Amino acid sequence: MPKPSKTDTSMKITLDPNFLGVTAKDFASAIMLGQKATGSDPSTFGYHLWLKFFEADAELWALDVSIDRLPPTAFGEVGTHIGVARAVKHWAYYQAPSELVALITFKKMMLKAGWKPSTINGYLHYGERMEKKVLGKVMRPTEPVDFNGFDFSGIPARHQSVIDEIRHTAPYS
Amino acid sequence: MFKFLGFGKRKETQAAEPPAQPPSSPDQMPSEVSQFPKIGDFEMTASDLFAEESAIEQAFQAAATQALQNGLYGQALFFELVKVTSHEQLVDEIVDNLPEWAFGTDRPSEHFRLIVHAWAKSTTSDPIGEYMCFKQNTLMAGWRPGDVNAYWVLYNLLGDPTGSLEKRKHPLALDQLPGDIALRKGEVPIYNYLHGQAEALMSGGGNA
Repeated sequence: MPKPSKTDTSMKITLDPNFLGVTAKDFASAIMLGQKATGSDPSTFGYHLWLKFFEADAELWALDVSIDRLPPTAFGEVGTHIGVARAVKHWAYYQAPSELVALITFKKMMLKAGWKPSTINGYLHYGERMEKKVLGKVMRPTEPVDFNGFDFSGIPARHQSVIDEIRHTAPYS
Repeated sequence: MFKFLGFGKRKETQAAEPPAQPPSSPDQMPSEVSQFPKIGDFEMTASDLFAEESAIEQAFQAAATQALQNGLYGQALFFELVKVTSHEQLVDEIVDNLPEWAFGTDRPSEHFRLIVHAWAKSTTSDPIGEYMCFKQNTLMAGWRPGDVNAYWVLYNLLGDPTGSLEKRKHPLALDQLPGDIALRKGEVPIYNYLHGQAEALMSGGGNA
């Protein structure tokens, strides 16, 4: 049987350009730009770093795996509000040019709202699995999102900021 | 430290309570069961998990006991919690928000990902079974639920860009991998186990 010839037992939880699939130059640039965009608010570091590596064409699975391993302070521990995710997903998926573009758009906004990649992927995976089970298929919106149909009272400020940003925009117009 | 404000619960950040203070260094596994995380540390209740409080508490304690023996807390907690609750999404969220020491420092490998997905495809016949087989084997190897779901969301959307899963001739897709496969430390024993299972399957036996 083929034996594994390399087991890296010394790997620390650091970002790895090889794992992310980016060049050393793009790696350094993404770190620098991510830190610069984060500025004085460390709770946005996870979001900014994800975005810069995405823009550097990092491998998408490796990107989520890597960002998920950042400390909690990189996300701000704002918690989750399902209504916000539901509204943002409807907004991102309505008239999206492709499923992948919709996924990335949704992910960017939820990261901005303070969610971790693991929470976002869990929401997507289990939500769509339930739709397939109950409705027989994954549902996609056929009308623009009606933000007035959601109760956003009491949501964390960071979630509210994202809702305010997308409320009057159509992402693909 | 492992603050989780609960799905659907609305909390004003200004009114947030200070996080529970871990009794030991945040960088290492506790040395006593009583110092391990508890459900209350996550600001969610057993009812959120559709389970009895005593069952959830026992799951946390059982995971702590196992971790003190073998050092693997994250996966132990996952497997103990799914015995007592069917709310797997919240279990994933709890486990994904554990401290770093709960999983160690290894990162999942792409070779193991293909091996386990090939095995799941070779031995299950429905998408949920395929996911569960993949998840069980990868978590036993030290992956986090978030690692699994990150892959599965992309796979459901994009499929397998390399085509290796479809082209495979071996239950573990070993014919699609280089001669030297690169695995992380925790993945090796699971690979060895699956290899034995695959050999048995190919020889007409086995209990896959």
